[in-house]
Amino acid sequence: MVILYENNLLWCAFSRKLLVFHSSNEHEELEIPEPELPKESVKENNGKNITCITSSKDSEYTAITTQNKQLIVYNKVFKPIRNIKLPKVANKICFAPNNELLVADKNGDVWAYNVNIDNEKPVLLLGHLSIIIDMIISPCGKYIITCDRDEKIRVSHYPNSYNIAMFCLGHKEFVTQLHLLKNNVLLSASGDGTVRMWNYLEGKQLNMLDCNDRVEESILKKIVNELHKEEEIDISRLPVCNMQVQENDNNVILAISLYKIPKIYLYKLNSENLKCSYVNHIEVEKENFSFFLSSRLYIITDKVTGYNFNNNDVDLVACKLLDETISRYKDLLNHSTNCSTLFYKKKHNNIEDYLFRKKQRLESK
Amino acid sequence: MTEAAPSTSLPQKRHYRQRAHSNPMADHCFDYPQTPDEMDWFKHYPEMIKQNNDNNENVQVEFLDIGCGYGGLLITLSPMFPNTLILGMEIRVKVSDYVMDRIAALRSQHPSQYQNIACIRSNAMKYLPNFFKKGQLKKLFFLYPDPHFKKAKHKWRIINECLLAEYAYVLADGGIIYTITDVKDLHEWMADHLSKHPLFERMGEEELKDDPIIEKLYSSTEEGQKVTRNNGDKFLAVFKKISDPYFNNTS
Repeated sequence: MVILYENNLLWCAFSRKLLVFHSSNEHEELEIPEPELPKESVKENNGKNITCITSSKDSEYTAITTQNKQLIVYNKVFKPIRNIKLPKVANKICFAPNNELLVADKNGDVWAYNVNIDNEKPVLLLGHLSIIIDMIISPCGKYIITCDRDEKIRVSHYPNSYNIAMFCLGHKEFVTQLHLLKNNVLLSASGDGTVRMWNYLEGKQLNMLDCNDRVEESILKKIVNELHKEEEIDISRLPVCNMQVQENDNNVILAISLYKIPKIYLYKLNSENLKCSYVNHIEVEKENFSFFLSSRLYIITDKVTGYNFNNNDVDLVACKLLDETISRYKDLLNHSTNCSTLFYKKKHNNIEDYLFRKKQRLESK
Repeated sequence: MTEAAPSTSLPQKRHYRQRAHSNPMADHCFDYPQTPDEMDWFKHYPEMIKQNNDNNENVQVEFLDIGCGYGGLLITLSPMFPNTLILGMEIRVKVSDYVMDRIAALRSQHPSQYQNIACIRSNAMKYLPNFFKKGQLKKLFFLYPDPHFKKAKHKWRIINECLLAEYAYVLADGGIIYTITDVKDLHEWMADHLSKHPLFERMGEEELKDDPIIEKLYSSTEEGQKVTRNNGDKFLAVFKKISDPYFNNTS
């Protein structure tokens, strides 16, 4: 399931259904055109589910991408105006302030599409050597920030993205999510179980939150062992799967979920001194869930639960309409965003073997 | 990574031969610092670097030979630039180990010489920003790189559109990229990509005629000598990093 909350609209995609909820809680389902394909190449069986949603800041456009490489752009009144075939599956999309659409593909390349002109060829902006997991553009429109499986956060100028402004390095695993606070502090969540705060123009880490602090040792061990057995992955910390951020004045609320943990951890972050304090956690009844943060926290399993923030506590609130609507589609719900894809590397060590043989050779002299 | 052979004799190449190709996309095991500040350069340049000092106060690596092979260029440049730290990066296990053993042997045979060169096994396509700060390097060398002839493997070539952004990042303005190859097709590919990149400008013969490094590019490496023996051609292309024309035009 893919969720986007932007400009007071809530976009929900499950499988190939796209719903938009207005603030009045009314909703409508949008038309998703089929790909305009030459007839001989309709042989793709990878599914057609929606993979990304993004809206332009001025709410003129909303774009979605699908598993079968469609890029569909909607106008303000939710009518599809473009139906583009992408060369590669998109991993992340976002609009620049000039309404150019940026598409990060599976290969680690970022392409810029002009959605105003039909059939315009995209321009290659930049490329990572590994898969780009998240991408944001600064509100000033001067920087694209991308993060990848190789632990790196790259800050590139825009639109002259051949020019790298800085790298923010320090994460010890893949970087899953980026968020810019209003004061231009960058937050990044990672497979190393941390959220880090950056001055991204200087590449300087300002603070770090270890999200594994609240996990019981025995549960951590159990999940780590399972990963080792089933996937041959060796880790000591659980990756951050989802980080949602809500900002009011200096107070920032972080809602964080970790791999295989049916809980949402809530933290308060002071955006001035970047001090982080743990508030509470919410137990989720099901192992698979999605959630998002607006002024409230909404958790979606096969139903929807809402919470209000109240100082250091959270109160359950009714969200009957949303619940009723989403429950109607519960057969289509697929909470795959809860970290079904882990980006750990399979490491093969070819050095020790060589050094052992070298030692034998030298000793036999 | 390794200790040199206990003897001071030069390593014999026959123990270190390895096929010429390596997949730069595979998840090999590499040791690399999380950030340039965490890099311990002391163990690579013990006579040039003060131990436990802030990297900012020490001399820094300024020349980098990417894919340094058996290390011929490093050894040639060492006496030419005695005060400059020069590093070779090589992805192949045995070949990089050969260079490390070779430098260790040279240092023990010639006290206080060859202290400014070192070799690290790494993947330059992935880890340059982990080792070097923005604008730290003055010269980058790509000598006789793997041509990766097949079209599907072109993305493995060490020079490509997207990687040039990373090379520009670690290079200072005015820093130089030297490329040389005996493969005409690869030469055209490298020169073409560098020419198209807004942060690089090709250097003409006039600019290069006083550069003592140029003639060494033809002869100092093992790969270059092999081409000479076979009477092959060698194609040179040298580029300078310039400031971003995007900002010059808008400001």
